[in-house]
Amino acid sequence: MILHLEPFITRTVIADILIAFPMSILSFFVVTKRISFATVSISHATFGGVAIAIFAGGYLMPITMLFSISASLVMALLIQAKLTKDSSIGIIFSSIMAFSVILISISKGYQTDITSYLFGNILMLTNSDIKIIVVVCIVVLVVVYKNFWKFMLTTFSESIADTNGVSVKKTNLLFFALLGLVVSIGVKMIGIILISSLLILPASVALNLSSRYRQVITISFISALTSTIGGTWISWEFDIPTGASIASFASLLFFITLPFKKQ
Amino acid sequence: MEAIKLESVSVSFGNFLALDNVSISLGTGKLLAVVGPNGAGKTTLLKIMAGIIKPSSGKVALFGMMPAEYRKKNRIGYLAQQQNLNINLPLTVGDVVYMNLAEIKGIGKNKKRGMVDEALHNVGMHEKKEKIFAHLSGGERQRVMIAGAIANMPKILFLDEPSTGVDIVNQDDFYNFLSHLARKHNITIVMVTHDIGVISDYVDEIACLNRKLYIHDKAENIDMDEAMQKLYGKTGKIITHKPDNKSCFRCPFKDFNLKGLQ
Repeated sequence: MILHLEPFITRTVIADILIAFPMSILSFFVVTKRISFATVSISHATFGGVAIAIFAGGYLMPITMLFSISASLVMALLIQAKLTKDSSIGIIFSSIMAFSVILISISKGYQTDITSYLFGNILMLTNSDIKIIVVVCIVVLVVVYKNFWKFMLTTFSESIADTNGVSVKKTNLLFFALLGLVVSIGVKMIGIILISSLLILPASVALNLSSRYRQVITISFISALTSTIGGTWISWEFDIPTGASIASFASLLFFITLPFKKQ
Repeated sequence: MEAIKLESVSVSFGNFLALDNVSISLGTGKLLAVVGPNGAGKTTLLKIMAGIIKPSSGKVALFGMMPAEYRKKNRIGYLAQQQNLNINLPLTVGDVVYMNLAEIKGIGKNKKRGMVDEALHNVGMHEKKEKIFAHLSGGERQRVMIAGAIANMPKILFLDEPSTGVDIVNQDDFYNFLSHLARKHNITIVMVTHDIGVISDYVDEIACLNRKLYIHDKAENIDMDEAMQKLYGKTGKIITHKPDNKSCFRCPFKDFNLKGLQ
């Protein structure tokens, strides 16, 4: 029997599987570095890229990608400039949201687009988007593999990382650039508001179940994959926004596993 | 050759002068203790020596080279204060030590694993290699961190309050262990400590710091009452602790000491 799927369904399933890889590994570092709210700020900064794409026209994903990477790097630089993480995140969050709202309010015909970008819409994914997602996933996984222990060392102790010959500034900038990159590829599917859930919940679920990094990363991937596939399926079945459905699924996994957390 | 040399080093953070015109040098294989009150600039001095932060003025040299230049070709060991460690990271004891070796090029993974085992043996923690680091007691964590710092047998070791979490019964053996590293392995060690009463028996030199360097001399030449007066503005009775042989029975560093010191 040959299963005939609508092209958009095929694209969505491919995106679901692909996006789980970078989200799960970066989630591990986001949660252990305790910068969860930074991902919320970066995802909202992506709104600026969406605003520019709507205002000026053009292919959305590369524009949002450039914008979110830039916003991530500015945030990292603000943190390194001795501003507190809290302030840096808040400054990026509020300034770009304000800029984006102004830009969109002076653009024509924005209302239908905005809801999809805020909460995700699988119908927006194109074949070109899938190609970009494939490339971004490969880039992120290779960069993380090559720099894994640098990320671990800077997360554990910046002083020890420094004395081990690891440039803390460069490593942190690289990590924030990866965050910006990954957030931008998930915006169409999951939406600006909820994309951060996939950078927070998978590793949080995994940390409920294990205290060994290899297991945590593996469980984080399974959790991310289950959330994207399960969430997308619920989204089809009940005709609800994909982003909300995926985030709800991931949250459910967190609360189910919470009683198993070891102190 | 002098392992560490600081010439007229000053460090400012904005308007705050953390170190004022400090000059100090230390020979190879010597063990130096830096003592002083809270906020005296001890950790800053350690970070300056290790090249983690740059001085506002003055010169720092490790074996005649700038710290950054020295660290391109050589490893240094650094033990951070425990409160600056992120124990949220899900790591085993073995992982924590391995992390210190992971970025070294030219050594295979198997060799690195062997180095991890040896370092853990040296601090009496090998049997806990697979335990979760965050689940250990403060003293055990400290021993693991020291294993990480010495895993690659660096020529210079910087220790920031290394006896934190080491109970008083084991402090004697702990300092013996550091003394052994310096004397037998020719490792130059600088440690920041508050254990004024204990250290003079084990270290070669003591530096008394309170933003300025007040005293730097061989341990036996230093009058601790005078040092206390200069650093803290008052003297006090220094109580030292010498464990008896029974207490040494459970000493975590006992095996290492038996091999190396007797």
